[in-house]
Amino acid sequence: MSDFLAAHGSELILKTWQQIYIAAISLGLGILVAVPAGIILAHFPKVAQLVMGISSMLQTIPALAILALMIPIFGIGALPAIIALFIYSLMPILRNTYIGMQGVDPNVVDSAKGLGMTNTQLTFKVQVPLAMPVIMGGIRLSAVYVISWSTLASYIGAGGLGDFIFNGLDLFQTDLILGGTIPIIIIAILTDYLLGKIEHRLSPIPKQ
Amino acid sequence: MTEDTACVEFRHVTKIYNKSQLPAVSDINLKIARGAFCCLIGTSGSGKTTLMRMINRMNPITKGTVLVNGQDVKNLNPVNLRRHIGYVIQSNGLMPHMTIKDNITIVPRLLKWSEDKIEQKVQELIQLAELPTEFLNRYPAELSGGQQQRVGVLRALAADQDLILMDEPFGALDPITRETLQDFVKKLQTQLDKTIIFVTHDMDEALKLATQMVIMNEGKVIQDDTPVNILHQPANEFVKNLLGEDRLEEAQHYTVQVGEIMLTDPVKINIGASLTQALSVMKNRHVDTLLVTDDSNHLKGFISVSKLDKRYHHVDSVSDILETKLATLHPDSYLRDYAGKILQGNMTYVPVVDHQDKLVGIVTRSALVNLVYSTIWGSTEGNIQGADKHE
Repeated sequence: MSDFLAAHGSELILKTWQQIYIAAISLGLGILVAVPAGIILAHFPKVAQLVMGISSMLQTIPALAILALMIPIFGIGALPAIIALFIYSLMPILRNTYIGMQGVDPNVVDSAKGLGMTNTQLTFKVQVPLAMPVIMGGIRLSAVYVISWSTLASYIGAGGLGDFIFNGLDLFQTDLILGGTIPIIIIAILTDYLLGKIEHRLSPIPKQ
Repeated sequence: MTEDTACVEFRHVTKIYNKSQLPAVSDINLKIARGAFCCLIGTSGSGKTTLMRMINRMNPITKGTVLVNGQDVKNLNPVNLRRHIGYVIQSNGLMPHMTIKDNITIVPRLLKWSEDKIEQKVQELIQLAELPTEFLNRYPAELSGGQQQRVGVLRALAADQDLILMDEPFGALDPITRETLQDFVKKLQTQLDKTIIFVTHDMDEALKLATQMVIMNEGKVIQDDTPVNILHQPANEFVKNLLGEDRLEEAQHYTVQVGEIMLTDPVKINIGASLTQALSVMKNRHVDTLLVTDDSNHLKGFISVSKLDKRYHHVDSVSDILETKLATLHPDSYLRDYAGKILQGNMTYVPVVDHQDKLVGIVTRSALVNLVYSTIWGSTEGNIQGADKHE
């Protein structure tokens, strides 16, 4: 352990940072696009079906293939990796936001409207707060996906902890494989834990 | 706004939902007066909810005009219109993520009331509903169904709305809670002088609450009248079926007026008569008391044989032993309001006087007993024979 850190310590910090950097940007972009899109789609159920269908299809493309597809368009490095992972993060967030919005008790929506809320007030004071636990569920799912898949970004030269793992696989060096894998697991667990805290904070109905 | 404008008026209103051939309501004409408690009643699918939801434009109007306080709702901004009409639905529709206080103050906040005014209103309302103040900081899920619906009603009053729409508000509650809430709403309506339009399919609820009952079937108004008139003269077979045999039977007696069952030749004596005369009238008519009237038949009181016996040798006129403490009835009062009192008390009869206090008749205990008997057993022989078998 200390031998590994002595040999690869600074490299480990750099790779971990790259991993977090790629994952965080992809996820951040995913949230920025998918949450508003899901909220808007909730008002247009017919369009929503179509959009959901298309994004489900994108989801079926293997992660490695989509990364490879990015190379002819964006070249190699962090950019294509971020774009590919961004596309991957969209679907769970979009779907959960839409379902969460749809799942708000229609009676609550009806009475909010009947009391005289405008559509904007209805969306932001009633529907979004009540859909928040489901929306956060989608974000947590996407976060864990993106963190683990950003390992593959190493293949298209984006760096990250994947470098350790693939080197280890090539050289049959277990310590390199573990040196890459363990930090990824720690990052994923920590992220999920933090998002869980945020979810609790944003939860509309306080739990006793 | 003149006094005689109805609070809500429907003129040839028709509603056709998309994709549907048949109108949900068709060509409705209806007036609901200010201060009325109007119950819309009918089977499910009769269009009662649809009709109500067109008032605050929750349902778009296909054809015709809906007027609220004389104004065509189509010309009003729907959001603003709804903020001035109270709205209560069956499953209370409280915002689960807001405290009771935040729920109650939704509309005042939408209307941008000052914090002071809102705070004052909240205190006023929570007392009106007889709920403890600490409930204000709780969430709806922490309250019972009945308490939640009480808050739902408060929320509809919070911005001083004069018109309140209620869509089967108590349908999901147990009978005891429902009754308490009915009393609560009735009290609010009379105390605060609100106009309430109340959709229900519970006939007992409608008969209890309504001052105006609108019976609907297949998108049309079948009958629109007071509950008493509807019970007395159901428009057709549909209304009769909706009311049910039992209620109609009961209603016949329920709406009996004093004048219909009173005896019109009460035993009476003039106030100027002597005690000897009084005694002979009592003997001839086999009674132990006499009603006393003056020359123009005004009821003055009564005399009893026991008092007559005690004082016979000391005084000689009816006026000397007159007792004036006497309960009376009017011929146009409903018996239902008095029958209980008469039967429970020890009066053998109650004199009936007109509005000039003139004696017109008496209601005897035996007449009431006959009435109660036929209410309980019905007028058919079959019932009585059936009952005999059980003994």
